[in-house]
Formats: sequence, C-alpha cells, structure tokens
Amino acid sequence: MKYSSEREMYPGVCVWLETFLRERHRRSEVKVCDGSRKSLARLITDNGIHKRMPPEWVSWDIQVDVVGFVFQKKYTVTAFVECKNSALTLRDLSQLLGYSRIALPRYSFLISPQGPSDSLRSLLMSFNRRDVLRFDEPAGHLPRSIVVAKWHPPGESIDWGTVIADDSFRIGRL
Amino acid sequence: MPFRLDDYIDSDVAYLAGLIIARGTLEGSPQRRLIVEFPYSSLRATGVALSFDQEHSIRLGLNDIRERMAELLDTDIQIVRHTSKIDFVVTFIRNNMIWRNILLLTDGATSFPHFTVPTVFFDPELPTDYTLQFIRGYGDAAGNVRKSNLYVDGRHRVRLDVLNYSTNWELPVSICRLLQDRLEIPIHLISWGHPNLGRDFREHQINIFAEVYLGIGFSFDHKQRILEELAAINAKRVPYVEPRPCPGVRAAHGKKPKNDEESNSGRLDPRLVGEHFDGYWEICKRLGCNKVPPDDGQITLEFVDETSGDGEE
Repeated sequence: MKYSSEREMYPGVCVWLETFLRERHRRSEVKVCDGSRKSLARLITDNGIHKRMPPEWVSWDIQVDVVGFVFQKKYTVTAFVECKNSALTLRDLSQLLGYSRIALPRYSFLISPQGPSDSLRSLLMSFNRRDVLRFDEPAGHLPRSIVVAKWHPPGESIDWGTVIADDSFRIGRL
Repeated sequence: MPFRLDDYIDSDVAYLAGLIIARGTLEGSPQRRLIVEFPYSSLRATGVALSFDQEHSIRLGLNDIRERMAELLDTDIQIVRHTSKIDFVVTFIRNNMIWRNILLLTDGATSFPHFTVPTVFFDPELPTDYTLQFIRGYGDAAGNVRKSNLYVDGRHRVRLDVLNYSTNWELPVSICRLLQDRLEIPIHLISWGHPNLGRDFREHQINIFAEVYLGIGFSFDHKQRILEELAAINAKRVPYVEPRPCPGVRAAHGKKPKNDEESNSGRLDPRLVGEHFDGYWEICKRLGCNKVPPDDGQITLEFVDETSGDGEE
C-alpha cells in the first residue's frame, strides 16, 4: 500500500494519534486535528482551546501536520506528528526539532512509510548521535526526545519495531 | 501513567512476550537462557508469484529483531542454525530484573507447552498497541502465511499455530479473545488438533484472513511481502466479502464420527476428555469462550466447515 501524497496519510495518522493519546490519558479529554493548513496558534484559536496553554502560544506560527491535545486539569498536553511520504532526512528532523523546541510537546513523532534515510539512520545509529533528538530537558526528569519511526500503512500505526529515540525507557513507557 | 500494572511493560516487552509464549523456553541452569525457536518445515516460503529461501530470510529478519531486543535486554544474543529451525538464544548472567520480569509474564512457567497469554494483555487499561505487538511477536515465531492455506471460496489466510500439548489447549481461545475483543481483528475459525475434527493431535491453527492480518503484519520481510501479495489477491478474488468475527456459535454441519481418542487423557485437556464434538466452536466453548452471537442470524451466516480435513494442507 502506497500513498500518492503526504496528505493521504493524515486521516489515518489522526485516528492513530487519537487512540494513542486516549489510551495513555484515559481520564482526560483528547482532541486531534489536521494542522497542515494553518498555524498552530490559529488552530488553538479556532478550536477555542487556549486555556491551560503556556502564555506564548500566540506566537506559535508553525505548521505541524497532525496535532493532538490532551486537556488535563492543570495544563494541556500537546503531541506533534510530522508526516513524510519519502525517506526521512536530516532536514525533516531539523524542522520538527525546531517546532518541538518552541512548543515543547509531550510527544513528538517523525514518521514515514519508508522510515529514516540512510544518512539519518547512520547519524542516529552508527554514530550513536541520538542525543540530537532531544528537544526538552525538564529538571529532575529524563529528556524528551523526538521519536523517529516507520509508518505501517496497512495497520495505520507506527511500526514499534522501528522506533528510534534518545531514551529507550521513555519510549518504552510512551 | 494512568494504568497500574504488576510490572514493567511496553511495546518491546510485549513483542518479546509474544515470541516467548509462541516458541520460547526458559532454562534456569547451568546458565539462565531464553531460547526462542523459529522453525521452518520447507526450504522455501512461497506466495503466488513470490518465493523466498526460508533459512536465509529468517536469519536476515532475526538480525533486526536482535537489534531491537539487544536494546531491551542488554545482554548476549546468539542466532544458532539447525537443520529445520533457527534458535534465538539470549543469555542472562545474573538473576536480574529482566529475567524476573520475564518469569512474571509467564507466571513462572518455563516452556511453551505450559505458557498462557499473560494476564496483563487482558487489562482494559493497557494500550492496544502493546497487545498488537504481543500478537506480532507471536506471529513472527509461530505464524504462517502461504498460498496453500485457502478457504473454500479462494481467500488466503494467515495461520497462527499452537503446538498440541495436553497443557495448553486454552491458549488458542485466549489468543482469539485478544484478537477479537481487544484488537477487533476477526478470526475466521480455529482448526483444532482434535480427533473428532479430522486432524488427530496435530497443531491447533488460528485462521485469519490475510487482508485482516495486514493490521498486525510481520517483522520478517519475506512473510510481510507474501502477506501483502495474498491480501491483494483476496481483494481481487472476493472483493465484496468483509471478514466477520467468529460469532461464537455456528450452525451445525452434521455429526462427526466417534473416535476412541476422544478419551485420551494424555493428550486432551481434562475438560475435553470423554466428550464428543461436532464443530470447532464446541471445543472453544468448553475451553472458556463465552462469546455468543447477538442474534440467531449470525449463527446461520454462510460458513463452510472444513474440519473433516478437506481444504487443509
């Protein structure tokens, strides 16, 4: 099964992310949106979900393909998924790293049906530079890392056997 | 995390649990070792147009699995070739947390004739992708996809095998519950290795249509490619039939002949000894399946009983 465009991936990714978040935050309301056509700030405004967001949300002029929100009592958890319909490159990673550094989501996924390109895989695995995936290092906690993975189109899910991230323990408990 | 479980679990642990329950053996001495067998009965794995060297393909795929498991287990992993199987051997130097966690998952059992599905996978709080990884692990070690496993209407199926021991008759029913109730993956039927159903005491087979099993998939590239090929053939061959879950009860297809082996207490689960069965679902019921059709129409849905041995390899 192949996608003719990246956009074709979005509906399946939205469903997967919603299930992923609901099953890990069972007592919270979850909302998942296709964010590819508007800025994150606009998405938050249009959906009226700015409460419990950090004050700088108005400055988030970034477009993430699929965005999830988990509405908790004290704050809103966010999740990003950046989709590609070709092998993932350093450029793709750099883009999502930038977005994640800005908005500090709880989860951040970079996915494609082809998985990482040879050069990206080589950097992360052969040269053991998974530290470059980190985007947040909260005090007293393990760092948060981008999750690079292959998307499994028939199952409409990430292929857990292909996950690469900085900290396996954190991935384990995802 | 909101869910509370007995011990650590994640998608990698779930995958490993699937491998272990399918074909694992835990040896305590002289060295703590986990051995998972990857059997291959024929030299080639064949789809319709596709064909792969089994041994070579399994060894290639096992390298990826070794990479994944090395991160999880942080210990020595060997891949050992035999004539008709390849062993995946994990050695533990100490009685560490990983080893203890594995024993917790198997409830203290140490070999696949005695394993059951770990209770954690029935926990409603457990994310379904962990359960899916458990089934993928199981299928990687004990699943078959080949062109010969056809239903009478020409659709191809995947088979999850459960080797036949008196101690593990409940396992197919438990796997069926996981697939149908937790993952909403419809099972076609279970071909029991029971003398009443024409298969003596051969392995039990959980049959799932190929297009449905795509949702789980295989980690071995050769199996995955054959699966995709056969699923595409199903879609062309019988395009308007959507696989339905086993309703729990089917319409009777006549009486099966009596067989002296119905009382073989050395091979049968105690609940089955001395009992006669005319349909696969009757065995499922005796072993704990509590599924009932929502209406009688489900019982009479078109279904061809293959358990006389026709249509099977």
